[in-house]
Amino acid sequence: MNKILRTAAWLFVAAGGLSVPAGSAWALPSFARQTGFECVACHVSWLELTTVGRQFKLGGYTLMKPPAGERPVVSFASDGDAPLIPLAGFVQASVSHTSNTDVAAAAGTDDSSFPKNNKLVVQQASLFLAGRVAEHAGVFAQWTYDGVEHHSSVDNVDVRVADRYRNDSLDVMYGLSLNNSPTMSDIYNTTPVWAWPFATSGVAPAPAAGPLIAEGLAQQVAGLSAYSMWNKTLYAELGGYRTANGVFSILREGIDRSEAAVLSGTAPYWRLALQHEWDEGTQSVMFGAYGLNAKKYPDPTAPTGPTDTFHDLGIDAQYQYVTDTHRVSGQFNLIRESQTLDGTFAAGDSANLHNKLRTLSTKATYYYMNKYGASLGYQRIRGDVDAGLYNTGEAVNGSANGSPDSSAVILELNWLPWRDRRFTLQYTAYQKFNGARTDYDGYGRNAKDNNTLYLLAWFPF
Amino acid sequence: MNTTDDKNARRDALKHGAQWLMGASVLWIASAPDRASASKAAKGDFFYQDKPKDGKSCGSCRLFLPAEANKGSCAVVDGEVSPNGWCMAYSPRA
Repeated sequence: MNKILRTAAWLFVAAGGLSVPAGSAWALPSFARQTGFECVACHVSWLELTTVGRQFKLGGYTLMKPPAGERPVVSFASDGDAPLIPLAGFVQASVSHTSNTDVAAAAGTDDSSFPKNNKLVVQQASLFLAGRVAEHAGVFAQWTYDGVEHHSSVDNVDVRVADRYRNDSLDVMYGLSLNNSPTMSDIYNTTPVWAWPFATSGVAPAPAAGPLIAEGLAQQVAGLSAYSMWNKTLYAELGGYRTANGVFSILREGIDRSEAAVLSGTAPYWRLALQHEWDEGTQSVMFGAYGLNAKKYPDPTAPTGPTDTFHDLGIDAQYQYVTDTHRVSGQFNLIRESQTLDGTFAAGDSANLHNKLRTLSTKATYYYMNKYGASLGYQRIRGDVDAGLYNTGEAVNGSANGSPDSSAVILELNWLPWRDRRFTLQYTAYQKFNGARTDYDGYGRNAKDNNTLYLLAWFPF
Repeated sequence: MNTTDDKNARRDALKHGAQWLMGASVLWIASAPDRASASKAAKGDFFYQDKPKDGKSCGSCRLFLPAEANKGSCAVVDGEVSPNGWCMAYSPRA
């Protein structure tokens, strides 16, 4: 723990040094340079979007303050005219402490299973091209260096064209989104791509199972969807995802073909949400549902023969209370996945032909003066026992009983000494991990051994 | 009776139709004429009101563009704006 405290002190000193040119308060800085908004106008606390942030995304990232003079080609200044090339970035440095790294000798492993435990890592560095590119077109494109895997590749991409129809009784914002991950295009912070926690340890063990729509296709596919918001009340989106081949392979640039999902045909994606905003915009609520049906080849290097079919259905809700002094938000998300594993079962890699998987994610957040925040969340995965899928025989990451069941409580404290400098202290406490509370991997490891304390410094620029 | 060829032909027609529809939509939206208000948000988007809120008003916002007395406009919100007004995008001058 002393090592963690020393690392925390180092991070704070580093933050002080980096904060000198920070100036005022920005969110994704290129969007802030473009609009002139403070970060807290678009975010409850970044990354969670407020009403203003959702409007900005619906408008295709095109809202822009008019330039006072000639726009610079590139600029990282916190004020002045928006640059012609909207660049931004961020760096995440973190240290993780997993509760127990003493893996049983019977497993044939030792502390080397946790080579980065208690060590400072540059977890992620991202560069963004994000902003308006034309009157009706905007882009959000992220390139990320993974400091744990020492690998860089394309991250979230969302290219939009958008317009609006308005008369006395009807107001429709609509557009198209070309993106590389189901739910990337969504405007709420319940669906997988933009759901809390916004950062987690890149080195601690994590549950093995997750539905396909929960980033199982992220940065591997190409999707096009049409979206619309009717009278600021009904949000509807319909689209489809395909294998990112040919010219669209740029949407999975840096991801090896052998690791990227190969889909059979088009996987339809849909989204409906009803929202209501009141109290001068201070409060908002949303209830929604979404889904994805995909046929995926089990082996991306041999995309022939039977496929695995995934039917994912999500139900979600969100509430926000936003003032300058107090900010409260809550999210709820339930995903039910039905799997028909024709391909995997035929290959002998699953015990069952049909499986179900259900996930529940909830969290509540409070921020005071946009500076001090606390979030408490609960996450649960439940599913059918399948020894072929989950009992890998490994220590730490395996499941001796073949069950995917996991659950955890996550407590997170945030401190933003400047509005674009975030320090996060997060604790994840597992009640169940990969199927059991005790001896889940068959080598004597308990769920609580994976409890993780995570300290993060996050600096956008 | 439907044959497999019929089904494939219908599927191809639907697929090509959807592709053309998407392509036409992109061209239509991208080629929409520039409108003075197109780049700006509507007042209702950000709950604009003609009175201050919690002591904050457009007159102290970095996006406010003053004109004659008690009148002005906003860099991002459409229409006439009062310096005594307020909206959710309020961003104080540095």
